[in-house]
Amino acid sequence: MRLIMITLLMLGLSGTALADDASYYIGARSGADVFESPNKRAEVTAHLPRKNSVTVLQKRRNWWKVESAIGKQKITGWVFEGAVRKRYRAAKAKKKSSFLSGFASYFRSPEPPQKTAVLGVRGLEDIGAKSAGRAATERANKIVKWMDTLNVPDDAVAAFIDEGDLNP
Amino acid sequence: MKRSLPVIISIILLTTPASAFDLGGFGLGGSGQLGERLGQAEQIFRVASSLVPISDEEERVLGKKVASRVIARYGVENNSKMTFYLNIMGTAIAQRSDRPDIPYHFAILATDDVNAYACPGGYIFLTRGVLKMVRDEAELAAVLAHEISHVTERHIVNALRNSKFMKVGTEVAAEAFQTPGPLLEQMTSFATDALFKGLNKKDEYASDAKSIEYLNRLGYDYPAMFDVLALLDDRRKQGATKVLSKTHPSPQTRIRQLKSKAKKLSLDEPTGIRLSSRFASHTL
Repeated sequence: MRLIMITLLMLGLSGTALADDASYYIGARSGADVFESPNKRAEVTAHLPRKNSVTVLQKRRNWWKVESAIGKQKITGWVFEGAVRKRYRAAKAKKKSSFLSGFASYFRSPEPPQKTAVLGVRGLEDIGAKSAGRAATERANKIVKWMDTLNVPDDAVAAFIDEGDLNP
Repeated sequence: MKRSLPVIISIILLTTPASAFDLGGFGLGGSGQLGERLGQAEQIFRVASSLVPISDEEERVLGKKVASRVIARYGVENNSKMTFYLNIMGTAIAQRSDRPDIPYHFAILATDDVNAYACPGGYIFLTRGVLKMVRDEAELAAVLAHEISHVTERHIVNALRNSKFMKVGTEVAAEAFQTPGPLLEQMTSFATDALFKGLNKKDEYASDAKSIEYLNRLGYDYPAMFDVLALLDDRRKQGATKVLSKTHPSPQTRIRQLKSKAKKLSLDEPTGIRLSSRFASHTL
């Protein structure tokens, strides 16, 4: 009895901790935040856009550790499972089934339906405290610096006002 | 079985020793992690509370960080012609505003959602969705004027000052901005939160009123602001302003409020200057 329980426990643990070979992608409409650790209060290290391919490294309850890339930059972190979808591929042509496998198929349950989109898990709709914690990326900082250089000279403004017949 | 489940759980809870539910150092005695964190939070609270006056330069430091988070969320449209057009128009409006002495910068967010954000310190963002929605330069100027007035009226900064952060002292004010640390991050998070959650309704109505004042000063046809609000109402009905609808009062209410406020303002006769052809030559 003990042996059975230990075996079951080990099977259960391995099911949640092992890497997954299936192909996945970001399915949430507004992409997914990548967290440093499996905790919604953890720092957001990146934002993966929709349809970005991800490799699932580990699963811990509703949090999945994934590896992905934005351009050449590799990203590893935790995302909420609702943002990730399994990529279903057309099934390959089946080998001619034997009598035994055909017989066994009578007892097999049908393929589970594909998960429907879970919107707003960490999407645009979920505005507020969670999204406010988004860390500024290097690229965003560079864009802000670029914005600082966008100084319009006074004579250009004067010409613009003059051209539009606005009040000088 | 279902009925007996609560009884079974109660028995387990009563018979299990308290140590079985020990979460490991989360006591409030001061030695646990929570105690430490509470201490840190209290420290941050005290330091942050001291930041009652925020100078233009400090506001700019905060604004840069908030702007960075907005960009990180949406990305920026790479359209130099339109961005320059936006900057030149925004600067012209800002020069006629109540706070013309700080630099203003404008950029387009790469999203089709209809929205706009005004970060502290003059960093203003319009979404691609807004640029697709408006029909002429006066309507675009109305949106810009509304956002500029959030900066001129220091709405985000005031929200920060009125928050629970800011109730005591003034000693450590400059330090947080000079040596960026957890306090500045906390303030950035608060300001970003306020931006994404939306300001209070009074601030929005005030900005609507200011925007028609600014349009009037520059000579644009200020009823363009009413037209923008009507457009927003149309988009709302189509479900294209989901975020905006959550963060702003309804366009109908804003129109009503603005009409009553406009009567009290000493505005000139509408000029009719819409500049739709100039706008068309710059559109996305």
